[in-house]
Amino acid sequence: MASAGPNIVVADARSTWRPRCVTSATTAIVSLVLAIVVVLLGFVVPAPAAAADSQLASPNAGTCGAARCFQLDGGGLSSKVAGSAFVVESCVYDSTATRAGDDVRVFLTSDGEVSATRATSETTGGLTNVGRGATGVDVGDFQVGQGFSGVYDEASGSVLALPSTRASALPENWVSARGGHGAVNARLTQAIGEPAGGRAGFTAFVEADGSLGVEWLSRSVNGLANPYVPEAMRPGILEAMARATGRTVVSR
Amino acid sequence: MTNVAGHDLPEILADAIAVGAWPPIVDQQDIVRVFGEVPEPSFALYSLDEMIGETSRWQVETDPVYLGVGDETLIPSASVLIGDLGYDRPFGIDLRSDPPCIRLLAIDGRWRLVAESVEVLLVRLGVGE
Repeated sequence: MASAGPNIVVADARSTWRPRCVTSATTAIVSLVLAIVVVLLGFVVPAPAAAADSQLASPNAGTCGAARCFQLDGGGLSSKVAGSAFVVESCVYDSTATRAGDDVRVFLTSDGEVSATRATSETTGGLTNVGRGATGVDVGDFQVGQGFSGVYDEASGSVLALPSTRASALPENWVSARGGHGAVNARLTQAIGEPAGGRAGFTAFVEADGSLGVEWLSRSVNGLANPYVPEAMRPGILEAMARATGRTVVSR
Repeated sequence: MTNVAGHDLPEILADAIAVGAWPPIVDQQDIVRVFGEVPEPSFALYSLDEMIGETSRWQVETDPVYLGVGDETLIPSASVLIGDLGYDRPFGIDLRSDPPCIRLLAIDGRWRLVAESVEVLLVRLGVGE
């Protein structure tokens, strides 16, 4: 995105929206105010988070003027670093993709822009690259050996993997080890629409070294005749999971 | 009696659970020898809670890919799942036979007979040795 100042880009599975309440008249004024705010924040925000906070502060106020886009939680701006979550309070957007009350996670892109995404109900609780992966789930929150039943959409490159278990207790947003890929597939369809190409089911496991190891069998998604993911689709899955989790992902 | 999702477990398996002999510690070679297929690294012999969890969900299964093909089947309402060779590769006790036998959902989609009885399975896995 070409811009002189920091931008906020919110993306989900269906659309990308941008606040549209920017005006040239307000921008100059707000920019001046923001500069002061950013300087003041520099005194209260821990140094490692200062860059992220200052970038986030501008779009919050600068794009919406007096009406804040986002409700700042009790942690203040210091909590609005990459990976942090917060709730949209109110704003006017180009689409209805994100609304007041939506859970949002903030990311800093590699080029320093601020990005955020809605944590859609369809992907909540899972590892995903849909909508830039805003689900509040991190591999580090799980024990070694934990499995994630995943489904990959070949046409879009989208992936969604929900934690799975054999145990009798099935927490919200978890699926059964046997047959769970079917439920994940349905959730992925809700998030990104009907598949335009192939879908593949797999299971990723947390390994002792923090990486993810992938097994390739799923009957409900890959079918009865050959329940294994085709070899040609596997590299795409490994890459999608690596991007979604930031972890090394390898075939088991 | 030990009950799993409405079914009484065969006594020999219930006793093995009670004394801590089930699930046994086995390796991949043991699984290949007993089941005739190479397991995924995630293979598991179920604890009692896992038997209850997987069997409860199995009892409402309607997807043909799990119900099996051909003459060798496992009926959800007349079976107890007790382990798997990895996700979507379950094996269970077929309660239709006397004595109840063990069937594995093989890679080819058949519920293949792998042990004539629960006792045979336990012996082959070295349970209680």
